[in-house]
Amino acid sequence: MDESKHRDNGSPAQDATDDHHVTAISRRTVLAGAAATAALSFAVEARAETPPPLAAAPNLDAFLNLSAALTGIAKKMLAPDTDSLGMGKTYFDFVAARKLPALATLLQVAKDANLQVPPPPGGIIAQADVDHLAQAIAAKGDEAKFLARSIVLLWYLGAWYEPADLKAVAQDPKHLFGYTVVSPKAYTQGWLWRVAQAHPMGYSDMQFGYWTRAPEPIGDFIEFRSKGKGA
Amino acid sequence: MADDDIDVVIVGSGFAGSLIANELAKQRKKIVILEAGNGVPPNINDYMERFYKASIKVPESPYTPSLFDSDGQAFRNGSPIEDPNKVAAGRPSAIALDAAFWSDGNSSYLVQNKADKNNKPLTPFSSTYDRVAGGTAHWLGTSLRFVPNDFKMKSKYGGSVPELVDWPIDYDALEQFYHDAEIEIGVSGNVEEQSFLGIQFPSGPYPMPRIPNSLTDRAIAKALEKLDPAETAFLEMEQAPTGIAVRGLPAARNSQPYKGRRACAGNTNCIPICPIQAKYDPTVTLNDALNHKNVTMMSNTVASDIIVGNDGRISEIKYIRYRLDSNAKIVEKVNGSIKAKIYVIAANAIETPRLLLMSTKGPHSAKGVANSSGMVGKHLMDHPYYVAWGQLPMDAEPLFPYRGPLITSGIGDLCDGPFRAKRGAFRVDIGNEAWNFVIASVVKSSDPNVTAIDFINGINRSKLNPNNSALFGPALTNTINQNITRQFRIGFLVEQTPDPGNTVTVSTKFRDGLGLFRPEITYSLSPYAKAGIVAAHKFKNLLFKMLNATDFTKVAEDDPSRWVETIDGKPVALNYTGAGHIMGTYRMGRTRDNSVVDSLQQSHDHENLYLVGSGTFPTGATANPTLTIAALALRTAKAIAGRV
Amino acid sequence: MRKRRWLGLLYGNLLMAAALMAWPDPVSAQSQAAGNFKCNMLHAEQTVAGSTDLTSSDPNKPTPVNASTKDMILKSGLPCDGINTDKGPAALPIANRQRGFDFYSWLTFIALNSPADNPTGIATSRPDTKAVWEDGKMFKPLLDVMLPNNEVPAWEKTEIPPACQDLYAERKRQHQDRMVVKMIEESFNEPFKTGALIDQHNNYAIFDILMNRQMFDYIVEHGLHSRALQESDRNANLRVDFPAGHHDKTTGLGDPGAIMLKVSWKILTKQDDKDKFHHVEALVAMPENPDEKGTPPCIERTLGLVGMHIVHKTATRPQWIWTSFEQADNVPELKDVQARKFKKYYNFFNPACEAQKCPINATPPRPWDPEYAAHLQFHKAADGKEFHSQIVRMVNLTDETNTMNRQFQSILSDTVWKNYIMIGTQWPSSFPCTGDHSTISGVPDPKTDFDKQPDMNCAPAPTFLANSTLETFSQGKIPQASSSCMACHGNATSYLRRSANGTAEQQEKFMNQSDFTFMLEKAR
Repeated sequence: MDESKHRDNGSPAQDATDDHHVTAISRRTVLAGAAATAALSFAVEARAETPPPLAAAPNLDAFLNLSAALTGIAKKMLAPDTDSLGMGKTYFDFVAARKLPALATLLQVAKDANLQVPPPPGGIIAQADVDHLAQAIAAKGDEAKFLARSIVLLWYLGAWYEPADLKAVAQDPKHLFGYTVVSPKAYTQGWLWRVAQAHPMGYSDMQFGYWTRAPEPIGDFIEFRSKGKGA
Repeated sequence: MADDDIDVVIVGSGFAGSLIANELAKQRKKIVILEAGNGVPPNINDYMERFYKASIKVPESPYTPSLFDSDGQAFRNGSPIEDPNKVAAGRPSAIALDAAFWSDGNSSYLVQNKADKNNKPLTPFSSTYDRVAGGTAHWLGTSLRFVPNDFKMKSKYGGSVPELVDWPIDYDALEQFYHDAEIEIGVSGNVEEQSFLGIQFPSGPYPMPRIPNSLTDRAIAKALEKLDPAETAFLEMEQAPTGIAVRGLPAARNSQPYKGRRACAGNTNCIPICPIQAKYDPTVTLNDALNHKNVTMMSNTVASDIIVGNDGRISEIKYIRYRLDSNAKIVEKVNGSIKAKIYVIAANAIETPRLLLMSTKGPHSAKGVANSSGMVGKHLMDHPYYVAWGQLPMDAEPLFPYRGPLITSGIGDLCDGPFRAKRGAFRVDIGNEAWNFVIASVVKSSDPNVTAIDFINGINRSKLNPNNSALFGPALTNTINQNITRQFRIGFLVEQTPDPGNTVTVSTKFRDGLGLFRPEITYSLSPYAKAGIVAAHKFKNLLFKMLNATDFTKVAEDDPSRWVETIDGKPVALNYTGAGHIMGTYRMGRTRDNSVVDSLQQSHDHENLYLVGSGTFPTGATANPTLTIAALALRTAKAIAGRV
Repeated sequence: MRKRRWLGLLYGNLLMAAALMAWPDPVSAQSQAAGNFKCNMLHAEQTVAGSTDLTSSDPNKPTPVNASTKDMILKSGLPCDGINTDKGPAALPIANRQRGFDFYSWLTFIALNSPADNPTGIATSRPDTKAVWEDGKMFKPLLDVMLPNNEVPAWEKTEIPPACQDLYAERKRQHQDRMVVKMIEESFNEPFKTGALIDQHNNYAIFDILMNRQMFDYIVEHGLHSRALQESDRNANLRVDFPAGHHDKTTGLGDPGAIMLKVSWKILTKQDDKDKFHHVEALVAMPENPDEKGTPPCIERTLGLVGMHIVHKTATRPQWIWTSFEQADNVPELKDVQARKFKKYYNFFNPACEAQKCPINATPPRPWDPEYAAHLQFHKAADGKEFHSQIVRMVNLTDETNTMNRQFQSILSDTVWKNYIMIGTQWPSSFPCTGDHSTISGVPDPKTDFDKQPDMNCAPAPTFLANSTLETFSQGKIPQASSSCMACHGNATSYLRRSANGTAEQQEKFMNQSDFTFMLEKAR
C-alpha cells in the first residue's frame, strides 16, 4: 500500500489552466457578455490583466491577415474554417490584453495593405506583398516594428517575447531576456517547428518510426492545399 | 506495519531503490521505502503542464519541487526564484550552473567550491538529479552495457595512472543481471549490432527490436565509413581505424507495446520527460512494487541520521517527514525513526554520501557511517560531456532534426583501446535535436528560439545570420527551414579518473529547508580527463571535415568550466558540461581499506547495510550508468532476499 | 471472403413511409460489393435537434418533440458514416459540425442499445432487455478473439471460463441467460495502469472491450489474433487498416464498417435502484491476482451500465469517430462542486464527504488487484474503513451537449435510456487531412494515410475528451498527458515487423501502427 498522492489542496485543480476551447461557443454566448469573454481570456495565464471585450470580427481578420503575411504560413492553416483550436482568437486576445497602442497601428496597416490571400493550393501571401507590409510597418516606428516581430514569435513558439526586449537585444546582442509561454496548448501549436518540417519537442502527432524517413514536403506543414474533399 | 516486522527499509525510490523493492516484494518481503520527495502523482498532467509552460526547459523542469512561478518563470531580477535554503528536499538544477550562480550557496543547492584548500581553481560539477518518487526520471533512456575491459582498468591500463582500480566483479558475472535488467525495464536493441569490444549476450537477446535510426545518424555513419588512418592515428587505438561504425543506442524505449506501455512516437523530449511513458522511468517498477500488500512508501520523508548500534550493525534510521502547502511552503515537520532487519541506501551518489557523512552521532560513526576506509564521498565522478555543433552546407541533403527520440545512435567503438593508459576514453552521442541545448552554453538561450529570433529580429546570436537580415513571409520560412534542417550536434562522454580530491562532503554553512546541511562539492578534471576531451575535440574536427560541415562550436568567455589547451601548437578553448552520471562516492572493492562496499554492494563495515546505485562504481567507463545500476541492484536484491 | 453479419437495424425516412424490415437472413448477407445494409441517413437539420432554436425559455424543459419525429429517430437504425453538416444555429462552423457528430452519436447509441431481438423496439424496451451490442451474433468481447496458443477464434463460439462453467450450465438449465465477463487487469485497472474505480458501495467498476463482425473478420483474415502471426513474415509490411463504414447517398445502402466498444459496469446492490440502469445478470470471472494462489472465482452479479465508448471507422473519418456516453448519475461536474450544488447521490461521488477527507479524483490506496475472497469488494483499511472513489468531471459538458442530451432524454423518456447522457464526440476536424489517402501503390481500401505529417490525427475536435468512469484519472486539458481519445489511440502499435519482402516502397514506409486500436497488442 502507499499513500496515494492526491491533489495537494483537496480541491480539484486544473481550473486555472482551463484553456477553454473556443469551438463550442456560439455568437449568442459571445455577444451575451463581455464578462463571459473576460472569464475565458482570464483562463489564458501569463500576467493576465482583464482584457478588453472581444473586438469586432474585422479586427480579428486583420490580425489573421497580418499574421499570415508576416509568418509566411497559409492563413487557412493559422485559422482553418473548421477550427478546433482557435489560436487566432487566443493570440489576438493575448496581445490585446497587453494594451499596446501599436496593436491598433498594426491592424490599421494590415487593413490598408489589402493583403491578397491566394487560393489553394498554397494559400501563402506573396513575398512582394509581405515586403510592402513590412515597409509600411517599419515606417510607423519602433513600437510597431518590434510588436510585429513579437506577433510572429507568438505564432512560431506559442510564447510571448516583449517587443522591448527584442528592441534591446537588437541594439546590444548581450542583452538577456526570456519569454512567457502563453499556455501548454499554444506551445504545442508552435509553427516554427512545422517550418522546420518537425514538431514541438514534447508534442508529436506522428507514428512510431516516422523519424527514420525524410519528412513530407514543407508544403504539407505550412500550405493550405485542400486536397481532401470537404464534407 | 510494526517495526519488528519490517524486513528491509530502502531509502530512495529511484532506479536502484525501486528495482530492489520490487524484487523483494515479489518474494513477499516486508518493505518500507522512504522517499524524500513527493509521491507518484495519479497522472503526469502536472509534470507536463509545468514542462510546457517552463521558460527554460532544463532536465528538472517538469518535476517537483517546482523551479518556476505560475508564469513559468525561473528567475526574478536576474536571480533564480528557487531558494535552496528553503526547499525541504532540494536538488541541483541546471538553472544554477551559470557563472553567476554555480558557486553561490544561496543560488545553488549544491554548495560548490570555487577553489580547493590550496587555492587551485575548481570547476563546476554540472550534473543534476531529481528528488521525487521514481528518482531521476528525466534520464534519456540509454541502456548500454559496459565493455568487459571497463571492469579492469587497473589491470589493463593502470600502469601510469595510479588512480585507476579494478572492479571486484567482471562482465561475465554481471551479464545475466544485465539481461534481467533489460527485460525488467524493457530495452530495445539489436544483439548483433551491440556485440562489439567484447560485449556478448549469452543470457539472451533484448526483449524488443531496436529503435530505427535517424537521418542524422545515417549521414554521420556515411561520413565515417572511409577514413584515412593517418587522420585517425591520434586516437591511439590498437590499429588506426579506416572506418568507424555508428551503432544504434540500446535504450529503455519501447519499439512496440511493452508491459502495457506505448511504443515511442518520437516526441523528441526524452529529457526531461516522455509524454507517453514510452521511455521507462522507475515509477513503473515502483508502482508494481507498491501494488503488493507488503510494500509501503513514505513520501516526503527525508532520512536524516543512520544510527549504528553497539554491535556495529545499523539499528535504526531517523527521518523527518514534512508536509507542504499548495505553494510548496513547509507547514509541518515531524521526526520519526524506523527499524528493519536490513537497510538499503539508494539515494544517489550525492545524497547517499551526504547521509552517511551526516550520521556522526554514534560511537561507531565519528567519520560517518560505513566509512572506515575514509572513502565515503571521495572519487566523485561524472562523464564530462564535451559538445560541438555545426551545420551542413546549403547544397547538402538536409538532416531534418527535431524528429524522433533525442538520441538514436552513437559511436561506442572508440570506448576501449591502448590509449586508456594515457587519456580518458569517450563515447559519442549523435543528437537529433540540432542546437537545442548546446547553443545555450554560449547564448544563454536555447534553440530553435535563438535561430528563429535571429532571422525575425535581424540579429546574429546563432552566427547563422551575419547580414543581420530581418525577414518575414516566405523569405523567413525558407531561410529558417534551410538553416534548421541542416543543423546537428554531437556530444562526447569522457571517462574521468576516480580522483580522491573530487569529493562530496557535508557543508558546515548551508542548510536546506528542513535544517539539514547540504552537500558540498569539490570537483575538477584531471589531466587524464582533459586529455580525453582533447582527443574528443580532434575527433570532432575530423568528423566535421568528413561531413563538410561548418563548425559553430564556441566556448563562452565566462563559462566556469572553460580552460585553454594547446593543440597542435594553437590555443583552443575547451569546456565541458555534465552528462548526469554521478558516480564513485562509495565505491566497491575487495578490501575495506580501499573501498566502502563489496560487489554485492554490502557495506564492509556494517553487515546489515547496503549502499546501491552508481556511487559504488570504482571507475566510470563511458557508458551511461543506468543499466549497470539496474544490473547491480538486481544482483543485490537476490543477495538480500536470501537473507531475510 | 468476408462474411458480414447484419446489425439488422432499420431506418425511417421523411420521404418514405416507415417500413419495418425483418432481420435479414445471414446467408443472403454474403453478396455485397456495395453492401445492402440499410444505413441511417438522418441529418441533424431534418429533425427537431437541427431545425429549431435549441434553447427554450426554461433550460430544464426541452423543446417538445412531436410523436412522429420521436418515432422516426427511435427506429432509424445505425448510421454508416458520420453526419457532416455545417448547417445549424451556431455562428462558428465547427460548432455546427460538432452538433452533427453529436447527433450521429445519439443515433448510434440508440441503434446499438436497441433490443437485440427487436432492433426497432427501443421505445418499449425494459431496463434489462438485451441490447444489440450484447448479442454474441453482433459483437464479441476482445478476450474471446485474442485466444492463447494461436487458436483461431470462431465468431459463433463463446468461451466460458472454467471457473464459470458449472454456474453457467445451471442457469442455462433454468432458462436464465447470463452475460459472461472475463476479467484481466484492464478490466479493473484503467488504461496505462492509472487506477481502479471504486463505487459508493465499495465495489470495483468493471470494464470490457468488444468488437463487431467487420473488425473481427479483418483480424482473423490477417492472423492478427495471434502475436506469433503478427510478428511473422506473413504480415510483414501489412498496413493495418480496418474496413470503413460508408453509405450510398441515393440508396441509403452501405456497410457500417468497423466498430469497437468499451463499456463500464457498476455492480448493482440492493441499495441501488436497478431500473435507473440498463442492467444484465452476469457471471464475472475475476482476474488473476499475482499475490494469491489458486484460481480466481466466478461470481454472479447484476451489472448496471455506467459508461460506453463507441468508436466507428468511417470512409469520411478514417481516423474514426469517438463517442462517449455515461449514466447520468455517475459524477458531479466541476461547476457543481464549485457551486456546491449536488444531486442526492451519485454512483462515484459522495456529496456529504468533505474534500479533505475525500480528495477528489484520488486513486485508491494500493494494492489494486482484487482479492479473491472479497468478490470484487475493494479491500478495507486496517481499521475497517472503506475507500470509495470521489470522482468529479473536470471538464464541464458544453451547453450544446446538455441541450442535445435533454432533447434525446425526452425522446427516450419512457425507457431506461433517459438516464444516459452523451459526454461528447471527438472527430478529426481537418478535411484536407481526412480526405488525404495513402499514395503508396497497392495498399487496399480504405487507404487510410498514417504517414500524414505533422498531424496524423487530423486535428481532433474537441481536443480533449474523457469519460469519468473510463479515463477517470487522466482528465484535464494538458496536451499528451490528459485524456484525448485520438491523441492516445493514435500512438497504438502492433507487433508487426518489417521484413525483406514487399516492394521497396512498402519496406521504406513500414509502420507498425495498428489503426487507432490497442486491441492488437492484446494478442497472445
